[in-house]
Amino acid sequence: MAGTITHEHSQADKATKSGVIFKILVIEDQSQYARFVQSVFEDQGYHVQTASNAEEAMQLVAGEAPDLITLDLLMPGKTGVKLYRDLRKHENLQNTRIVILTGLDHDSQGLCSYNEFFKRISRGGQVSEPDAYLTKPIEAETLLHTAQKLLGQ
Amino acid sequence: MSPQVIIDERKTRSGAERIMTHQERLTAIGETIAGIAHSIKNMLGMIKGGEYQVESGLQREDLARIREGWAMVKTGNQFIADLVLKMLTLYRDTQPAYEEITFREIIDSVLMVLKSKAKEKGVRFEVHLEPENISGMVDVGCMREALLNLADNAIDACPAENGCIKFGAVHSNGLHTELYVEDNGRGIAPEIEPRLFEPFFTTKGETGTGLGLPVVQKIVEEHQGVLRSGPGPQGGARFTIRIPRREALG
Repeated sequence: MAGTITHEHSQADKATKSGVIFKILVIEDQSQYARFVQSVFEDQGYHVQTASNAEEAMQLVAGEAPDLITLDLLMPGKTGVKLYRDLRKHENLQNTRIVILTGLDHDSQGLCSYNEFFKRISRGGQVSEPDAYLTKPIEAETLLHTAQKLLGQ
Repeated sequence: MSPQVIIDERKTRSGAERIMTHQERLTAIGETIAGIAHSIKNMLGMIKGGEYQVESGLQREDLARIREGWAMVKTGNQFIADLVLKMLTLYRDTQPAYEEITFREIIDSVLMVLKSKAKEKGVRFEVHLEPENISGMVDVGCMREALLNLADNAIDACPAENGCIKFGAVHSNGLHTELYVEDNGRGIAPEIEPRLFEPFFTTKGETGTGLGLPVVQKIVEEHQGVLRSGPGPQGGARFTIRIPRREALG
């Protein structure tokens, strides 16, 4: 589902790359949380799309590539780890920044900490690390600053 | 081998066993704390997100956004309250307070609670009782909680269209009663089945506590019963609670 851009001009200036508005894809199954992340970025003038599962995400990236993706790791269906690998290998996304945004930081789901996550994504072939790994709960400012830094703003 | 050596070996073995037990307990406590912390952190994330939506909504005078934010805060609070109640049920020793009740009454109270969630997802309920006035001696609050957890999971498991959940109660023989809840979802994946009753394991992403089925299992065991899971005739999952007929036992 596509988000709309609701921003003021000064914010739009911050969210552009040579006058083109940065595009962000939020992959999150919890719709309320997805709306929050969407609001944080849209308030700064970014163009935001959201996907609630892996299939929706893969359909969206098959079109125009986002500049940045936030990815939840725990979603029904395809796991975030598998989806991360698929996104990293996707030809459209070679210049896309990927930020993991997850509540996972223990081992009840077989994942614990960033190191364990990285070990798992590395199984079955080398794949590059995420550009950032953020754990919930997260402040809106931290999320925004992370994205701005990754987008060279 | 002299008697002294045997005694010493026994001492050593019992010491090792004690250490192992202590380590296992520490591991179990650690896993439990990690599970609780994980769930609460997720919901704190939800509440923080809600705060942002409310505050930015106030700044923008955007009532729709304020409502969204407030709904997030309520979701987070409700989840944490639910988590605490399930934790208390799971980790506190209790004895059922048995009373006779018709299973229709318990199922109806479960349906009442889940009515709006089911309606939202387009899920319909069917109730099959044999005989219609089938009753039993159970802890009413606990058994209602067990069926509520099973039915709540069943709604989540139902397909987006034409979801159907069947509740049933039958005296399987002279000595037992079986209560079941089945859905017409995709069923239980074989790789998931061994972990179904593991505390904090969930297939619902970050919105599940992972305590629903362990709580059901504990309630059933307190009733000296057995909880079984498997495929149902509709192709989805079927959970069956089999408990002794205390009223028949006298």
